[in-house]
Amino acid sequence: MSSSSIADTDLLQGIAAGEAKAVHRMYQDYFPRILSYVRKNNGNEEAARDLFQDALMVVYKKAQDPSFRLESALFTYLYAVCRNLWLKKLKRSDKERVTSYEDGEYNGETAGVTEAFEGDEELVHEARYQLYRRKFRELGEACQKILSLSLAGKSMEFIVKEMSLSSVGYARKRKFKCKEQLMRRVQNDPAYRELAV
Amino acid sequence: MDEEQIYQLIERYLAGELEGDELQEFEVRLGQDSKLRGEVDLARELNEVIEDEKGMAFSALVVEVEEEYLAEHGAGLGLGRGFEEASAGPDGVESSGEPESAEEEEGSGEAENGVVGGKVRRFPTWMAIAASVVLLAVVGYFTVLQGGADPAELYSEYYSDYPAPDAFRGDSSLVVRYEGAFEDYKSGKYQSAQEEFESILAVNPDDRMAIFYSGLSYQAAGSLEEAVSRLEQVAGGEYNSYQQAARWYLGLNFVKQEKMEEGKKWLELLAEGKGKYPELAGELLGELD
Repeated sequence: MSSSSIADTDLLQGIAAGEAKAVHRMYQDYFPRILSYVRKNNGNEEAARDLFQDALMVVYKKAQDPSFRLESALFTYLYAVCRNLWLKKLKRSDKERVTSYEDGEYNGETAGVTEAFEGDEELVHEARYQLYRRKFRELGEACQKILSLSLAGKSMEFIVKEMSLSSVGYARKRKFKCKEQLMRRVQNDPAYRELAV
Repeated sequence: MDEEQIYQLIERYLAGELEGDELQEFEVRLGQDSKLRGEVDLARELNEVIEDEKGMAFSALVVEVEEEYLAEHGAGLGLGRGFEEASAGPDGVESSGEPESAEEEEGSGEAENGVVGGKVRRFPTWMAIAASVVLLAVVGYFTVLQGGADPAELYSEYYSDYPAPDAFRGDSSLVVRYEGAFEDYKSGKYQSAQEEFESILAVNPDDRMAIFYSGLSYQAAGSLEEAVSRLEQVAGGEYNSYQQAARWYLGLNFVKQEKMEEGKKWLELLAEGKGKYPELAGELLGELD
């Protein structure tokens, strides 16, 4: 029997729909506890923020799946995602000394939730993709735009006109340069080594 | 084959543009070179992420909501120095304990978000940011970089408007002025916008948001020296939430004026930090060297 509440289901639907108030509610209700967990386990505030963002993306992606059913409380699910991801990151960065989460309320339930993931790799995959998104947002606006338009299937001629570039040749060169920048930024981030396949 | 050529080959391979002998040679090389396989896998994954417009928009939304949440609750969570460092980077600027919310400012005489004795809160333009990933008209143009880049070309390449907030709450007379100023700013009527911001500053000279956007409006209108005097008020001194952006636009301003040493001074200071503008500053400094 599912232990998720109607409120949890509504919140999950809000996340699936990309509603700002649902995301805000997640921060309001759950971020302090995840922050506390990370602090107790070799992490700092920045790591907690990244972890929470990664976990929200996992929840969002799961919520897009029409067959997904929340079988536990939403926080239990979220906590399990965070815990598994954090342990994975620590293992890969050789910082394995992790204390148990001291709130016994969640220890029993999270085991079942963990099994619901298709191995930890699904979580690592999503965390890695989150890293890519962060690095993409750090690019200049012009680079973001040219890569987005190109991968949306727009022709180089369209991109030249849209961005007032001088020629198709220059647009192609600019696109390659922007992609190269993005790849280098990802590869230079220590988090990438922790999350690489 | 240099690195740039390899990246181009990878992109053409992923786009299905390689054919015949060229394709065959590349596939043989892939089979033999694990580093190249790793590059191709990364490039492929990056394409998937960029193509996922909804995922990208949700991710941007989360960042915006987080910033708003932490601005309100960060201090209560003990996110003092650490949080500011994560936002601003280790640029040596000491935190003044500057208020993060308008409520904290009330009666303090400070006006981070605009109003002495009132409450003006800006809401993040997460929709604009999410949309800009896909398609958004920007003010700013690319020019061909022929041989070495000249300052005007660099400025054109790197400049784009700083986004305006979408909504405000607070004292009604000031909200009306802000709305008018930002309507003009968003419409590209920079001289009008700058005049509106200056009228706000006539009443409240410490209003940092008005100082910042006045500087940006001057700059967008081409009044570079007037922009400098405004932006320097925000870029220097104690940490504030516009500081990184102000340093970026100052750096660009001086580059356009061909005052390279001054431009580099601001860009180098900025590049010591973390985030979008420090990364851009690093890139621009690379082009200036």
